[in-house]
Amino acid sequence: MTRCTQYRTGSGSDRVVSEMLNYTEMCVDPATTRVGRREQRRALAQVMTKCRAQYRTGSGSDRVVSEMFNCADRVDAHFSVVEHLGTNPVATAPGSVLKALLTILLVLLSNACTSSDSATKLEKETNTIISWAATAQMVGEAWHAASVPRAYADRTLQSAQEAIEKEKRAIQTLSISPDTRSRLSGNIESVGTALAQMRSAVKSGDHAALASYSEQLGSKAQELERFVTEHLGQRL
Amino acid sequence: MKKLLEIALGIVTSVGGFLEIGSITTAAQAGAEFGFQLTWAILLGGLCVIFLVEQAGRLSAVSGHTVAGAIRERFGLNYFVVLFVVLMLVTLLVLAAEIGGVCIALELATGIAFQWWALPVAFLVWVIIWKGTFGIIEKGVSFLGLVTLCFIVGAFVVHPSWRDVASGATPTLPGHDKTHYWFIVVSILGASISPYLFFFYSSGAIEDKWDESYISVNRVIATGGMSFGTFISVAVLILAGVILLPRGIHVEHYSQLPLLLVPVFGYWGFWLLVASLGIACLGAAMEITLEIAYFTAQGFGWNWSENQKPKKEARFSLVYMVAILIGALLVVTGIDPLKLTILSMALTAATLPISIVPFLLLMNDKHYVEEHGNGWFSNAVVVLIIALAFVVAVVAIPLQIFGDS
Repeated sequence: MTRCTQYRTGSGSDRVVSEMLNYTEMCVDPATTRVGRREQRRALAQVMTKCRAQYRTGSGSDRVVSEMFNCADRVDAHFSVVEHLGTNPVATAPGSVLKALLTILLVLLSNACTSSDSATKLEKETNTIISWAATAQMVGEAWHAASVPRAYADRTLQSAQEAIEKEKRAIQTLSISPDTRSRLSGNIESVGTALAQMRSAVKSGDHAALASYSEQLGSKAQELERFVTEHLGQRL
Repeated sequence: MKKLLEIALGIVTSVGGFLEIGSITTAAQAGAEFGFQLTWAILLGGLCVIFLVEQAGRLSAVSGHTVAGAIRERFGLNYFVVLFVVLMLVTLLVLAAEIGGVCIALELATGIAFQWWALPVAFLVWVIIWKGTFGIIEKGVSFLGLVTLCFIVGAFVVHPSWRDVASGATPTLPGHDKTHYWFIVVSILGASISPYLFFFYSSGAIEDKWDESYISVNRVIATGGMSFGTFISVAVLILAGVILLPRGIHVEHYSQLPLLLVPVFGYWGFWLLVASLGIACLGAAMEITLEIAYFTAQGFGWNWSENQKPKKEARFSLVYMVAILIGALLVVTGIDPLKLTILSMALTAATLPISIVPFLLLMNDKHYVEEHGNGWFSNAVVVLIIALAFVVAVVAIPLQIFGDS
């Protein structure tokens, strides 16, 4: 649950996740479960419908949200069974039922958080790579226009190479599907190659080659960005 | 006429002395990642530092005490030792960051790695303090710091949407990276409300022999100087928001800083950035070094004055020598100066209450400030901002470090 608060405070957060957290908290809160079950279920169902709609339209799509739906469905099902049997879980054995419910929720939510960590980290690492690619392009343009010294351009391109190499290693440690990993590695490799070529062009003072490699770098970075945007949610 | 000249000089030195690696870096990061949305944090930090610096000058002019000396006298040795330990740890990190800033400027200019510059820069700082007087450090180096006005010129040249800049003055939450947003808020507040700034200002008031007749001068210098300094930080944020944000460049490395001015001034933009960074950080490094020595000597009752010969204040001189050495050695280890800066600014924000709360109590103690004590408004503004900085720091720093977001 502690890790899940990350959603509220930033990483991976969106309104859907926030609403689902509110929902699950409401389910396990003794104060709310004492209030009429039917009314509560109706209210929960409305939240669920809204969340599902948002989820399907892509405004909050990732596996976390999906797992949370499963989790919420179980809670909902639990209430249904209890209601069918005519037993009020809170009234009969509040401590044990709530504890069991809480345990299920915590396990599910923490699992969801863990898988989403990879998504968030992947997004962060790729953003860093794209940022460095843009930096390299800008520095290349500035060097081409004789606005910055060669030593500065060379060192900045070197820093970009090192940073991208570091991000590439970080991505290898993420729990993502082999297909995603392999395609990502290919994309990052292309960005790294274009960067290395730019650096050689700066070292040899070849302005024409630099312009061409800089263009290549731009298109490779765009490819990477497109891949991440399109596949981040679904392919993890 | 003499007072007018002092006001003009005071504002100039405050402008030159305000900007340092912390304010440049945090403003650039804020602009590159959140556009103009964090303008409010810089303005809030600027407002707070105006109040604090004015109060520090008033305390010294009226009581003849420095803030450190008064805290030691009013709250006793035990409290002072706690404050001393906490403040020294954080201030040494900030000093290392400033020395690192000068080294970065030299690396940008020469291509030689910044670590190699740490000891020569430390030697330069030591020589100026050893040989120079308070006037040379305060006015000479800070006067050179006026080169940082190039950021303001640049901000006008890039034609930002002033309506968007103005709307950034009202706090709003971002749609992404909320943890990082708050961490940058904390860093901006830490960079603006550096305790060394008002401790140093208070020592300067004593060095310059201020008395009660300087209360108005102090008010104008604190307000004018710190306001201009704040505008320079806002200008850095504007440049980052207009130039770096649309390209998706986040400021993660010092080599990205020249990109703030190169698109605006071309060839000169690079050198203006190098000069601004180098001079601003050199000035800050000297002020922080002196502040460490002032604070130690004032707290432990030793002789202190930058205007005296070093041999007359051996312990004072020894403290600043050791401080410079520690700061330089931290840079020699190769710690990324940018990361060091951001961390030290956030830690500064987290430790603000311990230094500012006793200071505020002093500002309400008639024994020290007589009838020139704080009004409720001054107290309320500072208490609110410090509480905000502290709460946000306590929440955002662990999230940033352990959440790695």
